[in-house]
Amino acid sequence: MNKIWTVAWREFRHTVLTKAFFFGVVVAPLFFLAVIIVISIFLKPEAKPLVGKVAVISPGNVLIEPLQEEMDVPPPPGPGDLKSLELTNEEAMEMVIEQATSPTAEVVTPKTVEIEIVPIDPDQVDDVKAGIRDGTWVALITADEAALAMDAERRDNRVRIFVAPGSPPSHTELLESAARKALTSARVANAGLDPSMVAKLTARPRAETNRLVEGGDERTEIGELRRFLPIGFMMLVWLTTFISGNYLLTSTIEEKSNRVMEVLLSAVSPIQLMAGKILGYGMVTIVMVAMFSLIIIGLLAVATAMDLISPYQIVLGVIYLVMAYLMIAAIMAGIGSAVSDMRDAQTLLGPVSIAVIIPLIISSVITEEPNGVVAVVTTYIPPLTPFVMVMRILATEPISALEIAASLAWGFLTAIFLVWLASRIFRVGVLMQGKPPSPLELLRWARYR
Amino acid sequence: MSELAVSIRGVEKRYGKVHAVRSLDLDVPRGSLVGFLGPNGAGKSTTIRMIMSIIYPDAGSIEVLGATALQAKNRIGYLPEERGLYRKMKIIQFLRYIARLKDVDRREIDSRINWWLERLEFPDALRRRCEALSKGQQQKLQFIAAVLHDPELIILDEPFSGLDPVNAQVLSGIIRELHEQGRTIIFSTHVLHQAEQLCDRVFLINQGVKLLDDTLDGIHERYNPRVIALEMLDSGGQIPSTLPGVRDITPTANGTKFDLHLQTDADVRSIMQSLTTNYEVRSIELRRPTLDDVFVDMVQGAGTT
Repeated sequence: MNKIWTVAWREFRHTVLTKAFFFGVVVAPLFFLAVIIVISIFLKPEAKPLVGKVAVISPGNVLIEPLQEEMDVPPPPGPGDLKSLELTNEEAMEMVIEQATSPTAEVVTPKTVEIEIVPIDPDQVDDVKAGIRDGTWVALITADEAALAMDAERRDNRVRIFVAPGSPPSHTELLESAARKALTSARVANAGLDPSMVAKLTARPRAETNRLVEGGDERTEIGELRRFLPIGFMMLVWLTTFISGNYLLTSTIEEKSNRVMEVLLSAVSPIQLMAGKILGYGMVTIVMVAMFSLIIIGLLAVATAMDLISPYQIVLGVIYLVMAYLMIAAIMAGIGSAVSDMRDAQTLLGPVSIAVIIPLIISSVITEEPNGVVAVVTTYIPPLTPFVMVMRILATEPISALEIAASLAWGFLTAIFLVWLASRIFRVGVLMQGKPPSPLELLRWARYR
Repeated sequence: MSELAVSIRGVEKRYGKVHAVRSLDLDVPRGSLVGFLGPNGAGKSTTIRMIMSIIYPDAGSIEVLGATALQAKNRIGYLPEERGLYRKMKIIQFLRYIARLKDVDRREIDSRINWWLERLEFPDALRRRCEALSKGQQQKLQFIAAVLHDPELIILDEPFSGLDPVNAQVLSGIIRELHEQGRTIIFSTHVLHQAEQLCDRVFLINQGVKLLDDTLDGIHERYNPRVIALEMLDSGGQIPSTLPGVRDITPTANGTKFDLHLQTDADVRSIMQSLTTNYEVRSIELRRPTLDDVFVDMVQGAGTT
């Protein structure tokens, strides 16, 4: 055990305490996060003030009053203003997610809007258009009788806006939005209804999903977060195990290509060497999980606080992480020992890469139907087991304890088999140089005494 | 305690269709300095790796220092033919790592490293990275890694390759010292005169089969070529084309040197006496068989059978 630990510590130390690891795993994600924060705080694009006169032509000047009301309304709050709205945690989170996932999330609104709506006659159009070009007017908005009709299918059902060549998108978007709303208000009034009453009645209501969980409790949840959480955790397991596995692969190939392998094997057995490597890069995985988790700690904390993840699920997640690491590490150790350079390794890694990308492809199917046929079948196909199960245990439908036990038993049995197979290949492969072996030859190596 | 450092009995090793080692028996007495010879692909490295328990035989048994090879690993020092170092590692880190793998007491590691670096005339090496070393220096570093844990059995595969004559001399002296201290040394080489100078026993293998296993004296006795090397005083000196007891006379250089191949039953002493009495001789020598002669003869002989 002492020798295994010595090998493990060297692999860990010479991976984690290197500039490449520090910059790649610690600095790069932190820098990325810092850049996002800095951009969101300091570099938030601010639209120019929208100040001036807007000329309007409409039948009976019906658009004048609603347009002026729209222009006098303050711009909608940004994510930074959530506190002032006195929202609950759930509401705030929902608003953030909604804004982040909304197609208009990038819309920037001018902070200062001082617009005077001025009715004009149709014969003044040319003068106003000239005024728009030279900056006297901000815009011209026109709507005819057809626009006021209540037939949404008609092609001339529109309000037209004329702006200056240099008018920024934030101004045109605001004018378009105000014109649309004003036209709707005018139509409502035209139909003999009270626009403010209609607005109140058609205000978009909040829909709150309450999941009736086991034990009789109710749990309020946020749809988008519920959808992304299992995939996010699967990605965490996937990324960390693959980065560590890759380190293990390159370190084994390096020891083969610089011929230090035989020196090591004069001191330790091939199995001790492989075990030391797997243990060492397992510790690297823990460091990486800790780093990545620290970065998303806020999200994790909120998720735990909102009962999205239970301690039981976290424990299961860690167990499946160990299983995933053992499987990937065994595959990488076997391949690394069998080849002499990275190019040859890529050839053997091809089928493995295709297999392990499957969890990413089927992630949405599994989160939607965690007990569906796809989820159940892929659970028992190694090395997909831990990746699929991490998604299933965090998805909405509960997984039966029997199935969790079966997946753990099957997964660890497969992981142990893969480690055993890798160790058989490792002890022959580490001393082989030259042409990479075919998969058939690898199996033959495993049978050598 | 067994008198044998290594005892190999009926060992077989196959790699697929290649029969690397066949029914090999070998005894290496404790305290001996054995030359392990053989052409490329003879099975030397496979045998050494089996002794080191890096790989395992398909059949037969190997006992090393009275134990299984795996149990004896910390008592064996090994310098592989393929030199290998972690390029980015500092020398001190590399040697500490190997020492820890060989279970050297942590408190002793640094003093042992310093002693060996000084002994091998390796100045200011501790903080340098392995990649900064010349080929010869890398060789010396690997030798230190092989003996740092004070092993009872030392296996050296081509220890002089890459060394200049001065360093080869230093290493040669150290090998002799280690041998005099009672350590068993198995030493594989292609430079046969080095084996001849250092070894007291030789083991020759070809195509996985043992061809020779004897002391140097025994080999000289068994492979006596019965050739007299004769040099005449000047180029005008002539010897007759036939002489009693001589099968064949071959001129070797400038008309002054000749090899006289004796008949099997010839009396060497009287022929040499007759030559010095009757001819103007500068030098006369009964040629001893060199390891080169034995090696080429046996390997070629084995190849033709």
